[in-house]
Amino acid sequence: MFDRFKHAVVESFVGAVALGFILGDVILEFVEVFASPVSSWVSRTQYRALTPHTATVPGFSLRDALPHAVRFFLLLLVWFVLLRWLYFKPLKKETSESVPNSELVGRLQE
Amino acid sequence: MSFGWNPTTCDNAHVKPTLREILAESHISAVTIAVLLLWSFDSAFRAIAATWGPFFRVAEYLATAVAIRDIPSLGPFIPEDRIILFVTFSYLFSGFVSLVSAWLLARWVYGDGPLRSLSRYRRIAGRNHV
Repeated sequence: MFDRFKHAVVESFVGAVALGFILGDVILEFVEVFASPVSSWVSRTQYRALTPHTATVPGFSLRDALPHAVRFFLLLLVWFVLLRWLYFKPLKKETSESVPNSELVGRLQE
Repeated sequence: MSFGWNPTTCDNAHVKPTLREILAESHISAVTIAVLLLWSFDSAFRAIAATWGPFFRVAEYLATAVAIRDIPSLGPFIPEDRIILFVTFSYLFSGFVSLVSAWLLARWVYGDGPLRSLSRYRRIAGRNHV
C-alpha cells in the first residue's frame, strides 16, 4: 500500500512540489534564525522611542531566535525523511510495463 | 542537465546518486527556485506597498508648497514613519534573501542563474513529457 502511495506521489509530482515548498521554507527559516534577534531588537528600540521612557523594554536577546531554530530543525527533519523515502531509492517499474508491446498487441488480436 | 539518475525508474539503480543529482532529477530544486523567486517578488511588492503612505504624504506636501508658494507648517513625515521604514526594510531584506537563495541553489544544482536554469529546465522537461 505504501509503495502504491509512494508511486502516486512521485509520478504525480506532488512530492516534488511539496518538498520544493518545504525546502524554500527551510532556507528562509535558517536565515530567520540569525535575522530575528536583530529584527526584534530594532523593533523594540523603535517601540521604546514611541512610548514613555519609564517602560522597561528588554534589549538584544538570542531567545528570539529559538522559535525559528526549532522550526528550522523540524522542517529540515521532515524534508529529509520525505526526500529519503520518496527519492533516494528509484521506483520499481510496474509489471504491466515489462510486457513487450508486440505481445500485448498479439493478445488483443486474439 | 541530465545527471544520469532517474527517480522514476530503476534502470541505473546500482549508481548511488548525490543530493545534487536527486534534487535536479526529482524536480525539487526547480520548484524551490521558482518558489523563492515568487517570494522575492512578493516581498518587493509588499515593500513598495508599505512605502505608499509616506510617498503620498510627500507628494501632498510638495503640492501644498507649490500651491501656497511657501513652506507648509506641517512636515510630510510623522513619528510612525520610522516603523514604516523598518517594515519596508524587513520586506526588502526578505526579498533579497529569497533572491540570493534562489541564485545560490540554481548555481549549485544547475550551474547557472535562476531564470536561465528555469527556462532551460522548462525546455528539457517539456521535451521529456510530450
